[in-house]
Amino acid sequence: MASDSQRMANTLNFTIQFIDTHLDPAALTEQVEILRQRLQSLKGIGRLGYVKQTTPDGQTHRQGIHAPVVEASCIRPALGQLCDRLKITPLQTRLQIKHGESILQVNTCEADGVARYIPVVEKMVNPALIYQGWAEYYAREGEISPVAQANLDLLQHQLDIDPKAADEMVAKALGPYHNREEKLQRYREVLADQVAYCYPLTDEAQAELKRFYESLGLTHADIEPVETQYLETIREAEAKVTELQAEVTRLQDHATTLQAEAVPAEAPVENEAQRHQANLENYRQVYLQIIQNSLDISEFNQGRLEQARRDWSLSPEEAREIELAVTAQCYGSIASARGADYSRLRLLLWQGQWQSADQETERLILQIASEDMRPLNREALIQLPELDLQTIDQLWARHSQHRFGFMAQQAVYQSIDKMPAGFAQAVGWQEGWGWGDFVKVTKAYQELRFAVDAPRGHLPTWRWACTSLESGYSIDAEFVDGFFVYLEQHFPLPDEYAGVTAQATLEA
Amino acid sequence: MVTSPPIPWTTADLEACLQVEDWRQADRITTGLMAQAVEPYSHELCDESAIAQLPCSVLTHLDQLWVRYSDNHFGFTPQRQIYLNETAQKPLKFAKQVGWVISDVEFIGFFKFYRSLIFESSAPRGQFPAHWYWQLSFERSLLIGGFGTGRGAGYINPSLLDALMLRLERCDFA
Repeated sequence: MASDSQRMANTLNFTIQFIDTHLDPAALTEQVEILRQRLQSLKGIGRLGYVKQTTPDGQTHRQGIHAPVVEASCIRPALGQLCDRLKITPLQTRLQIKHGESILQVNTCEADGVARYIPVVEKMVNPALIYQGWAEYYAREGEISPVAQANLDLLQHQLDIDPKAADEMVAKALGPYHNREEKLQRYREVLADQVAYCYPLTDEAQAELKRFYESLGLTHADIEPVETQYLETIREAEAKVTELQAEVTRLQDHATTLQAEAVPAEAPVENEAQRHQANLENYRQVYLQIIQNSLDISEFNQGRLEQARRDWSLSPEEAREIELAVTAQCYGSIASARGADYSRLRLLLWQGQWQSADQETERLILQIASEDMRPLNREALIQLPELDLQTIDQLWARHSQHRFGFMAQQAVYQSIDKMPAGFAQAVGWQEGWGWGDFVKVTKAYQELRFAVDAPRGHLPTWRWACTSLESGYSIDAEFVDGFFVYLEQHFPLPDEYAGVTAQATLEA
Repeated sequence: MVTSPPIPWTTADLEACLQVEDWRQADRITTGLMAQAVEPYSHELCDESAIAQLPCSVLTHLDQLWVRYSDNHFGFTPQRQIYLNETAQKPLKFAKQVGWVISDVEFIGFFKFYRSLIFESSAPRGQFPAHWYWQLSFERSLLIGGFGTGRGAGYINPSLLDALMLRLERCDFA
């Protein structure tokens, strides 16, 4: 159906270039790669290419991303991803968007700088197409959820679309009810649900119902018979209820227990509980959709969530409980036996900020296991609760593909036949020199490698057991032994660590 | 060597000296208060594990007094800021910056004798508290190239200085 010219109007292309000269090529490539992965998961983005740059010394490296055919409806999520990246790592960025003859170019290093242009770009393309794209997206389940409706209303204002035309587009998008009978049937269902939810109907609910049949493209004349018919049914039901109640009152003398069974008011209550259950599940889905893309929730999405929570009448506590569970499922549990808050550690690890994460790990360990933030000695190890050790390990492992964490360190330790004296070298905290590594040189903390390509088990460091981080960053053999004895008592080494060898030793 | 008085020092003693800008005596009392706070009671602050267990409350209180009476010129907070922001966490660079070292030449870092520090408000920012760092046992002073005279004319002990800075970090200093 879509002709070529329509297709042209509905697509655009964009180029994102990081032009930050302070960044070395390796770091730049990493940034480009992260962004590409995020973009690729979006629907309607098409094929992605790289923008390459040749330095004066003839080296070529990736500097940005080119997307030649992007569906207009995809531009908001795509730029949203860029915003999220810039929020984490502000980089001087050149963003160029072409649509037909018009070109928009922005140079900025801030997420807000990009966000500001999203509506501009959307207007550049035919605004109605954008709206239609979103309407179709939201309508894919057959109905528009309250939060989706809020977003559509906002969009309609931003894009400056005639409200009537917008309603028509939504009605069109809600394809399944394209004939009158189906619409009437749908209306009947909604009316039934609403009545079950709260009866008699409030003014507000009636206004909502009116809005609903109007969005379906129905008039009052259309739905009047339905309503009359349905309300008739209710009246009959009510009459029956009254009858039953009279019956109950009569029986009350004989069997008080019968009363509880016969009170008809219970049906709506049960229905309400089911509805509440459904709302909880809806909220879970919306939150999952948002958190899957980024652990760092944008203000825009926070607004969406708050709106959804109110629309589905969930308490802040209920919403919070769902959020905690879903985040734990996607990014790792932050359970603690001592009330420590591991969420910042999780965020830092997700962002790949290894050194800050290492410092945070020390802060947490000392907070839960030490008195007055003193470094831990061998005796104090038993103060570390199993649950917290597991949480810390699991967060490090999850965000480093099991390269880092206490289990990775234990695996390295087992691979060197549990020789405490060799551990620091096996994870790269020490360097060996001379024949048979006769001389061992302990690295200062600042010389350790805080990157994902550090030797296996290199992180987290055990700075929480150190009195000084200068040349004194050395862990004595007795402590190494003590730590692993403690660890082995509580955690058998999981299978995924089988066959791990100490990389630092192999290289030496 | 520091000699502890028969009666332990109190922060009131320290405050009295700081009020009249007697930096020399205030510095000695600070050492005394630090040593008193270390368990088991010891008059020496010459190893990292002693520094690592200094109570945060003591360090915070000492720092507050120094900062208040020197108008943020002396104290642990200014020292930590210098260490972090001006000398890239390099102990030798730090020692030069705060005027603890004789020579300005790179690689040569003989420590001044304690008595030749400047006991005036015109001393470099962050010079005090300094006295605790000069407390070394006789043997250790020989080991670092001195003459059994504390730190004077000896080389720097970077890890001891770093131990204090780490302690300040753990005690949540700004």
